[in-house]
Amino acid sequence: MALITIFCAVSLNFLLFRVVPGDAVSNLARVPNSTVAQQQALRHEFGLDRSIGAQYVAYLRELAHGNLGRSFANGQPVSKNLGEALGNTLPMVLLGTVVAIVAGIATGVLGAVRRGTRTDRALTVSSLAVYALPAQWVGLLLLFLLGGVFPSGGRVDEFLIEPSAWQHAVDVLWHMTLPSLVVGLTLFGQYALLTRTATLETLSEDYVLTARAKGLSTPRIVRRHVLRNAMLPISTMIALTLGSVVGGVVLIETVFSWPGIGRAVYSAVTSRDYPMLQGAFLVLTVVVVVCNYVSDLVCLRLDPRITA
Amino acid sequence: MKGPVLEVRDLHVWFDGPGGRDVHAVRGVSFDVRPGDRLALVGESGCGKTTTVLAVLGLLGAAASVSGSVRVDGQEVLPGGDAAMAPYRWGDLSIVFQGALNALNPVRTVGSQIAEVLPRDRRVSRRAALRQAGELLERVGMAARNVARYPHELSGGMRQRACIAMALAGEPRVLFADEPTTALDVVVQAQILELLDRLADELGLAVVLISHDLGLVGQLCDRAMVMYAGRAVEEGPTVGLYTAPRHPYTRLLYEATPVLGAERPLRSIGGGPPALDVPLAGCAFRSRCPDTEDRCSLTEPALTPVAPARRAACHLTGRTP
Repeated sequence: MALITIFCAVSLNFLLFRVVPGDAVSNLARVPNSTVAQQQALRHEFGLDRSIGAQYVAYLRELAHGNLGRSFANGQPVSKNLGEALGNTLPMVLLGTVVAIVAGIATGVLGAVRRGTRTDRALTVSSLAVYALPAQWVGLLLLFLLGGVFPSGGRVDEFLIEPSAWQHAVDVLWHMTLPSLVVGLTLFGQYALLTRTATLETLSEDYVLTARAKGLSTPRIVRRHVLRNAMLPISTMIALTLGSVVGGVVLIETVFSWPGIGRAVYSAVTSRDYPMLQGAFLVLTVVVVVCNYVSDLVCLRLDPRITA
Repeated sequence: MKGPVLEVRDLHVWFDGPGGRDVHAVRGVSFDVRPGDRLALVGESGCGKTTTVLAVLGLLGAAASVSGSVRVDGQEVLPGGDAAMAPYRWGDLSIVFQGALNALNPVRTVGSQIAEVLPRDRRVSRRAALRQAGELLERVGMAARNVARYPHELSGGMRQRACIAMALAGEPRVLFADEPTTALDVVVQAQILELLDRLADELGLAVVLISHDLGLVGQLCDRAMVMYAGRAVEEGPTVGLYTAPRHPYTRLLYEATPVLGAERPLRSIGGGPPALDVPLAGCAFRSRCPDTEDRCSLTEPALTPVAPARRAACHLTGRTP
């Protein structure tokens, strides 16, 4: 199923770039004094004079070999550029997500267990507030507040000379703190609110009444009879947001000059770097599909009623 | 004669209603449960049977306020809330809920749900606990290998058996069974009833059956309390209740129960129970009662002795033998 989805996405991705007006050459050929003959030669070189079908087959063949083409902007293979960008984005997003998951679930469960109390109201209001704030604004705010404590941009300290692996890791982590925090904060609100709702729903189930009649303590009821059941919608949501966050970090990465996939897409758009863009779309599609697949696997593990 | 395990005195339950119109769901219920007793709470839906039991077990939650007295082994547990009740839950008082599918957690195995209520010294290891759970399942007529199964893999009757096994795990002295056979077909219903009967004998359990089905009540219980609008309207030995009901509601309830082979018309009781969010004037049953007098709309009849071990709450009891 996941493979079929990816195949469809690849095909749409291919088509998308064929239906935009103009082709790569009409852009490249905006060079002064370029002749029609030169343009034709370029088209032939890139294979753009062949039929759509033939181009599609060629594209699939090269894709199967892991060849995404070369970037117009820096002449490097697209796969190498994207690999680097994704390698920068993923740890940052994952760190933020983990923070959001831990804090969000703890907050949501606490709010649900203490339903209607002052604690619950305070937690719900603050989750809603964080949820409503735009990510880039939170980013700027954090820069303003903590910019002196944590590095404000970039991924590494350029002036570290020949750092050891350990120093490098610490340096990257240090730079990662603020952008990850922004990712975490924007996700935290959603996770906390969803966890609260899911937990409340589970708490009203008959088997929770059974658990209470069994004389189990509240923490034990939450741990053994509520959390796992409530995790079903939450894990789906986490997977979905993770996929979209990887594609949507453009703003956060711009604020913190983080050399990740979001910035790669942004600069590819501004410089009309079609191969880069096509490759990036493909990678993002794959990330979303993989996340969904993982969420299915998690649900399968959590809920014995679902069978593969 | 040993003292009662459970004494309930003048139990009242109010639920928070919209606009401050609190619902007075249970209005002064009293009963005792002695070791080995077979008591039934009988009445139609919404008359407060389940609420009474949940209130006794302290399971009603924050939306309800409960007053009166609940004593376990002479120890008052009602004002202490959860903390006072917790030590008696499952170990002394356990319950089989109505609708066994929802009473079991769908994502955990039957065995683990039974094992978690075994007395602490019995579950030294996971393996030992699961073996114990298996033995309990065998006790209720299921194969021990069902411990590894999930609730959705079991049939309705098996789930109810599993719930009973779970209820036995804490070695309780009183077992509440809240409509344990609804949603089961007649054959399975009879099996479950027979099982409860056998277990109660073997283990010396006291059973409190909650049901609207007088047939079931007669088979399993020797004493019954008929409830109407949050009150006991009649109580006594089940045999006497059927043959010589002293309250018109008991009589009508019996006439509304189909009996196999009986040559009599099946009647239904017209109307429905009164709303409990407004104070009642007079007898709660008078709007549906076939024979009323003036005083029925003035004062609510008290539960008074009408015969040895029999009490009824009707102004006309003396005239309706």
